Amino acid sequence: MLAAMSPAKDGALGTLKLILQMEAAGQGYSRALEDYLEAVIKQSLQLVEKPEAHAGEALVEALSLALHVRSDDGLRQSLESILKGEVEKAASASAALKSLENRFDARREPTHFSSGVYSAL
Amino acid sequence: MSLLTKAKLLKRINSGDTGQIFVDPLLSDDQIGAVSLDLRLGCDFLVSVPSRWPSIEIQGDALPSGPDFFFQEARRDIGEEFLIHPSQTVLATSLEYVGLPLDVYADVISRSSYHRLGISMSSMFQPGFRGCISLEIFNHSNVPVCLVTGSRLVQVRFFQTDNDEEYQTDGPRRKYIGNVRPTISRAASDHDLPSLREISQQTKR
Amino acid sequence: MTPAVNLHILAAEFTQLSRSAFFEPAFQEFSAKTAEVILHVLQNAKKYPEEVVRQFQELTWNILQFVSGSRSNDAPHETQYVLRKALKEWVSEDALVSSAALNGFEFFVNLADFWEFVDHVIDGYDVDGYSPLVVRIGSPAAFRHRPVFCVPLFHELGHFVDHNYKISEASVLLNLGPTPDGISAEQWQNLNVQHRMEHFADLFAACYCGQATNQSLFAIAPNHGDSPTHPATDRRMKVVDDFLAGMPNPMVDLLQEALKARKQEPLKVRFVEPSVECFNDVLTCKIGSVEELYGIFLSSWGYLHTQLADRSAPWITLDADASTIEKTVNDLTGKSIRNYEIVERWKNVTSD
Repeated sequence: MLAAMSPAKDGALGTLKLILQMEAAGQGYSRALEDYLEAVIKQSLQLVEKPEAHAGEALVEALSLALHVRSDDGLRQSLESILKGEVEKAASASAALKSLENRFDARREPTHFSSGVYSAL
Repeated sequence: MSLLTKAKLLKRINSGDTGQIFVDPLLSDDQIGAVSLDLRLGCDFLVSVPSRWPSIEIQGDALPSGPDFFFQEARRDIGEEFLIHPSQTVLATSLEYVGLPLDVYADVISRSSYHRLGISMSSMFQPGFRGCISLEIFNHSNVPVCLVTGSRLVQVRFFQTDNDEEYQTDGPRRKYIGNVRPTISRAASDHDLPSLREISQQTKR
Repeated sequence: MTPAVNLHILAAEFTQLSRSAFFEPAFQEFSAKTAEVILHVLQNAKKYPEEVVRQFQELTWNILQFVSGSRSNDAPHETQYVLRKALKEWVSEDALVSSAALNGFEFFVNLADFWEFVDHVIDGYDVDGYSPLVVRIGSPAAFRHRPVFCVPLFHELGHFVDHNYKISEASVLLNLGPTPDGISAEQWQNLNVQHRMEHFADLFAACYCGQATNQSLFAIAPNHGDSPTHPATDRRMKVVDDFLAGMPNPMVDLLQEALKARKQEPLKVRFVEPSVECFNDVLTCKIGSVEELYGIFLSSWGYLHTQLADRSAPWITLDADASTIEKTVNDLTGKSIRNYEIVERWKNVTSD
């Protein structure tokens, strides 16, 4: 489990974002981190398709990422592009990072929903 | 009034009835001796420390130079050492929580092994007492002594009185009932003090 | 202040902590090893990307807070002892537990998985199998001798377990209703995660503290309605009521399903209420099992609030006010827990 950040600070995506930052900046990083990035992205895509089959063994960052992927097609495309090792990997990493930074978080953004929304929970 | 010896202690300690001498935890049965019960040093301490005030005052409730300002809390884990310096007073308690029935009172003194190191304390507890036994420990020697929390520091002798005595009457609540850690002196809340203060004022007029 | 300068400062801080006489040996070792890895990063800074050094530095600042708190006299020792026991039922790794005594009315259980980061990201440094979790428990300093009032810490421990295994998020991945009108898909998903996190933490706490969980919640937030981050109080209490009564409840089912999918133990009642009738005689409760250890929070909570209401215990004199009553009950509870711990540790060492 590479969820190194305290939950209050950045959810479980701290390490993933670190690797994406290095990729986006063209900085080299270790083979271990490369493998980790690949595993997290692969697992998150699998989880979106078949959560019941893959939830048991999934990395915690993969689980968190899967939720974002499910509601953000642009993020999914960026991640798939990274996985394929396409030439524009740095650009894809940058785009993925941007999606993750801009994701909605009720803890940070003052929001109000109608009672109809809450009663649907 | 009679001293409770081993046979009676064995019958009454943690017997579960209203006449029981409650001791919790009793880690080892061999703490019960021929005429006494060994009790252990607890883990919480109040250590006397110098402050900016020249003396401990007990007159007046809200004084900044009251007893609270001359003691500092310290805690050790069980089995850890606690150092008591020469001429230092330390407030501690027994590890054990004790409950005395209404027909028994207790004398507490430091065990001979510690007495010989210059560590002394003595106290007494009235019938009906409830709490961890308060230990006011003083180092008479000229060297620091290391005490170990959980070690058998004191011995308690129990005396059966002729009649039952009420520990907590309908009057004001007793100061130290149910204490589980050392408590700073409540001498300042002695209910005679306001009367004595007034007497002193009258004399001056 | 560049990361390198900060790291020099941090190395000095951890070195000092590793030599402190007031520390548990486990924290001394942790501090010494942390100082060592900081020095390694400083000596090899050119090897690591700037972002790695920056993040390492941020994590190290964070961990300094965790470690510094373990010297505090202000820790709610007895409550922490019970929380550690509960934590061990969910997390197999060794955990170093430190505490934060807070000035405000706040509770938290935070995790710092520092050594996992070092192991995977600081290549060139061999952790040699050293990988403890560091858990920091925060509670009001005023409650350090008031275990009955620390029931909310079990809720926080529930959040910790949830974050560790991503139970609520797994639950939303597995089961999410259609997005209603007035909210985007992303917001709907986030709302479900937030609310399920709270329900999970409530249920987790109820496994250990029973109805004391609901009563404590009601005392803190009696009339709170739904918000983006929390379900309404009455909704939360209903879920716990149903769980404890063994009644069917869809939220309980969702979370149990997620626990199963994540190969974790189900939520279940783990406590037995010990009798605290002995408190009427101002005597400690002789706790007989770990189930009763958990259950004493519920027993004491109930006893305390009964006495605050009807003052029926013989030890409550006419001049005894509410603070005297709560102090007595909290002290008896704390000492009962402490005695259980002492006996356990004594038996571990002295039995054959």
